[in-house]
Amino acid sequence: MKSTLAAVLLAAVSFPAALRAEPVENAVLTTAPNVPPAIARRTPAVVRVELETKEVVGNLMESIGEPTQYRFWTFNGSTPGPFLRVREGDTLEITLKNPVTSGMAHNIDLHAVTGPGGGAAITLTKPGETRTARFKMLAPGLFVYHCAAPPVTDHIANGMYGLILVEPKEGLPKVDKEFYVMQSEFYTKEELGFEGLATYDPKKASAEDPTYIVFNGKHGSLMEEGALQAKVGERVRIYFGNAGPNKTSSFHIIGTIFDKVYREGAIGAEPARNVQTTVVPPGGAAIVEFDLKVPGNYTLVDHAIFRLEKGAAGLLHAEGPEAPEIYETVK
Amino acid sequence: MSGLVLGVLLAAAAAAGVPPAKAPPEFPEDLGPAAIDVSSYPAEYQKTYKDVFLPLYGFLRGGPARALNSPLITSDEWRREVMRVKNRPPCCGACPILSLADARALWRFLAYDSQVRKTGPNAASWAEHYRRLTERFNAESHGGSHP
Repeated sequence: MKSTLAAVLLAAVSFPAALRAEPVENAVLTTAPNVPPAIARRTPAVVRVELETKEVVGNLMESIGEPTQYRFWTFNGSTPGPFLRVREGDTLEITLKNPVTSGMAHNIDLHAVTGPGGGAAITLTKPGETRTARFKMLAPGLFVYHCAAPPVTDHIANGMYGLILVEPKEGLPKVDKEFYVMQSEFYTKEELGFEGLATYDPKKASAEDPTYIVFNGKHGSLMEEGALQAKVGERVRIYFGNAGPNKTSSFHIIGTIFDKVYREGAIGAEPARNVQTTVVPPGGAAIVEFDLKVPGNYTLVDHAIFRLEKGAAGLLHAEGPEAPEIYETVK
Repeated sequence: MSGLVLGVLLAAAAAAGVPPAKAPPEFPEDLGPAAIDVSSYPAEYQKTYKDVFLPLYGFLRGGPARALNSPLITSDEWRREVMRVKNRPPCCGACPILSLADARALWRFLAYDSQVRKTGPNAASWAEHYRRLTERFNAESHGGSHP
């Protein structure tokens, strides 16, 4: 409590003159697959984000018997961590709290940040500490963030990552639905589908031999009641990230052609058009957009197809009228 | 009792006019009956058989015969098998989706059915049934010899 108060006071005292004229707002944070609303303002602001590191036991895979559980290392209790949304020119002020009960130090490396460690160098937070840092958002794009405390391999492999969108000054074109999907791997000593608390296997991680390759931190997270929902006629945008830690994703949605792809999450260049599958490396991202024209189920996959059974699959369900001029059975 | 029960079940299936699987057999079990008489089973299992097993599991696993004549017996074996099938994602958009609830019901049904038809007093007749399927499969050279 005292350290938090001290950090707040210090931040207030050290607020640079250039920022004092800017409004201060708290970021809207969402957990996957939800995305915060688009930013309406057209002037810079100081955007505050509070993150707390937490170890939580959650389900890595549901089962008809007992679920596979895993001890996730997280930002704010979820893997992937919250979606952060700011605007080019904003100042991101991150406060990172590491509870005294934590067994290790944490920090945050945002690929949207220019400077040593992407911020990790000045946010290293030991158990019981709270640190605050500010970063100018110099370039628009969709970026990965992750914990980079040593050993960075284990912090990523155990779930500490998420996405930050830096909107361009003029904003992104309006769409009807936006979703947050992040691929990642888990390496366990136990086989896929083990019933009980699965444990991290650093040897398998080093050998790049994942037990699970999942979307949004869980095998089947986007299936059944977790399926993404949209309507025919709607334009959909997916913010897709790949935390890795090892495997490159061949992101594809069966039955769609991406009208637009901001490859590698880059905003500024002309997006690619009419893309079937987009390559997203570990520590990378892509923004894909498409119109839903035919009702039915669309399967999100990593098209390295044997990964489907490890969990790299999800559903987008589109409700609406049939479109026989596009898709029909003849006989 | 044992052989009689199995015989009655198979005969009932035949009498029901259930067509044999049309796809070329890949396993000995594909050559067996594609339906069973579940009228003596608890209502819960009769419903699962009709609503889940026949329309969904049969579709996803190469026809009902493969499961009905499977050498799998124990609850653990069926749990692994049902989860394996459930984990196959619906790639083409046409396959039915096996929900977790349906998969759980299916697992219970298959484990119960195996206990009834393949163990206890029916164990010997079941073993003989499977031996004949294997013998026929190998004789017809469906994909090579099967152990």
